[in-house]
Amino acid sequence: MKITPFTRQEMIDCIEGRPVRRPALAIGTWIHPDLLSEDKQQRYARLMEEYPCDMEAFYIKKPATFGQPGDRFCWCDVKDADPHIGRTRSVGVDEENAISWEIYDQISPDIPDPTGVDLFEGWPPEDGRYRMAWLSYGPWSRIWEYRGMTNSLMDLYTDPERVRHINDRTMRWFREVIDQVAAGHKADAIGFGDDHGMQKGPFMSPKMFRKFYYPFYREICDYAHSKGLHVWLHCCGDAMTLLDQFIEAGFDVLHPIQKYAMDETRVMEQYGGQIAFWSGMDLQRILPFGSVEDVKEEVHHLVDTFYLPQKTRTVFTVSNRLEDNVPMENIEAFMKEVHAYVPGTAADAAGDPGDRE
Amino acid sequence: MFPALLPMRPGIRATGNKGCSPAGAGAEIGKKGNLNMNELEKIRTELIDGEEDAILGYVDEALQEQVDPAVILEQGLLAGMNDIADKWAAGEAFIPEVLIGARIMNAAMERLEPLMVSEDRKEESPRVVFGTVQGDLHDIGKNLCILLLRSQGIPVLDLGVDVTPEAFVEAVKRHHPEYLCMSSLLTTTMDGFARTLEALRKAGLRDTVKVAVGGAPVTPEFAASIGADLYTADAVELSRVLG
Repeated sequence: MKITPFTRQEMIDCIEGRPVRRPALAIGTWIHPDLLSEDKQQRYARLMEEYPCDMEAFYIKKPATFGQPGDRFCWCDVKDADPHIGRTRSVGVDEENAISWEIYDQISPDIPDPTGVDLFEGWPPEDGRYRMAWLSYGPWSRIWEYRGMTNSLMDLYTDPERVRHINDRTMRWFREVIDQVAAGHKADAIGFGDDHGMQKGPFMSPKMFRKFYYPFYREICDYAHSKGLHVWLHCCGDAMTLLDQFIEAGFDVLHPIQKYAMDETRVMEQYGGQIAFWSGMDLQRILPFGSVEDVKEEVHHLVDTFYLPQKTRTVFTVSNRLEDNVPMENIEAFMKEVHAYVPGTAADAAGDPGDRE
Repeated sequence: MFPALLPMRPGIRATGNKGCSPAGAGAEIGKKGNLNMNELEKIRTELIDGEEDAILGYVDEALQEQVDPAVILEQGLLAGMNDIADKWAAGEAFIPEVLIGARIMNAAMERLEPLMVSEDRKEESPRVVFGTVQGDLHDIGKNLCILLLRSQGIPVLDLGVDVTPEAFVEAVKRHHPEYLCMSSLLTTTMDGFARTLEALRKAGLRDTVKVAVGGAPVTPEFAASIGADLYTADAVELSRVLG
């Protein structure tokens, strides 16, 4: 039996908290079939035919991190600034791309410049579903990529003006993308990731977050909303103490409410209904190492926790990029069970029995 | 471009005519009245504020008052770092404060180190060998662990990222550490723990070193299942257990 996906309007209703026939299921950009083994790719394609997602998400073409002088579609156009040049050994992600402020200060002020670039390259035509334009990195991730995480965390203290300069540069890029998305009605939302959480607590204090990142998020949400777009945020880890600022900034959807890092029940008790949750099925333990029964049990827990009467702003997905170590039967069980399991109270509240299999 | 974190040299203590044991220095401080104690207290309590110039000023003032550099290190800087770690564990401080405290301590050490001498070189052998397992390039958690271990004066050899079982074995064979600490962020690389444990067994070294594992997807149950000796949930806990 083929599931009928949400129409664009149903997805908008789901996100904005109006009654819907069931929780949404939208994998987004978290499964890259090309990273899966061939047999899994085939099974995944069949699964998508049977259980099409309620949203389509596509990448906005990304500027390169490093270019050379004259390159416009990149984040750093300083000659030979790429630390990979001449590198003979693996370094950690912390200093993968890290450049000094002296190099940063030489970057042309108006890049990345998308003039002449098709930001929507490879996008398929609309099919009636809700569409999201995924931008990858927000300002916090952007400074990581420029400076490495350890440097970035210290930069908040030692170089606040340059931190803000990176935010401003990122903001210009976001505005450009939003303008293009809105102009051609290419999508209904933008989304991006900024990982502020660790397994326990955030990297920076809520006070520091408000000083450096809340203003950016507020500005981007206001601007996107003025163009009729939702804003989706991915934030790994324990962001519990930042959630109030995410909501205040105006985000419409938050991913993934990471299991073991955050208490899902507490999140719903405090913030359920105030923002839509793109609830991510656990990829640290259950999907890669659990059984099909474990997966189904977790789906029941997620549905019972996140899809409540009057708090139905729920979209299900996985908690991060799915790796090839996840058994295909667990992926299938996850997607099928989300559709198969809808508690009576939630279905009644939505006024529809839902898409039971 | 990447700042060295905590260049703590194990086995360093004061020398010269200013030098004395920390306990002796403490007694001397007492004779000199409250000023020095105030400076040490300021170093300790204000390290978390991240004002490098202020902390270095206190260090200079304490040195001018003939306070033993080892006392400045232990009762001011190290005590301050421990306080920050405690606050981090309690959710009252965050990673930037830990890092900036380490950075200031780094700068202060540049002033203190010329006034101190190295003790027996044998003490510089690493007590801990640390690395991210093969296939995994994530190192933030590892770096934080190393930072806090060093802030407790524990000598650590950092093998970096993407470390093969053979490289771990070689380091254990060569340095005879008390602990081998391994980190993995990815579920796809966690098997590096078990492969390293097996390589240690094959090399006849398993019983010579305690093996600790950690990282976001690692659980106590997983650690036990592969025969690791220690699992800690975060860097503070690890530094407390080994400290």
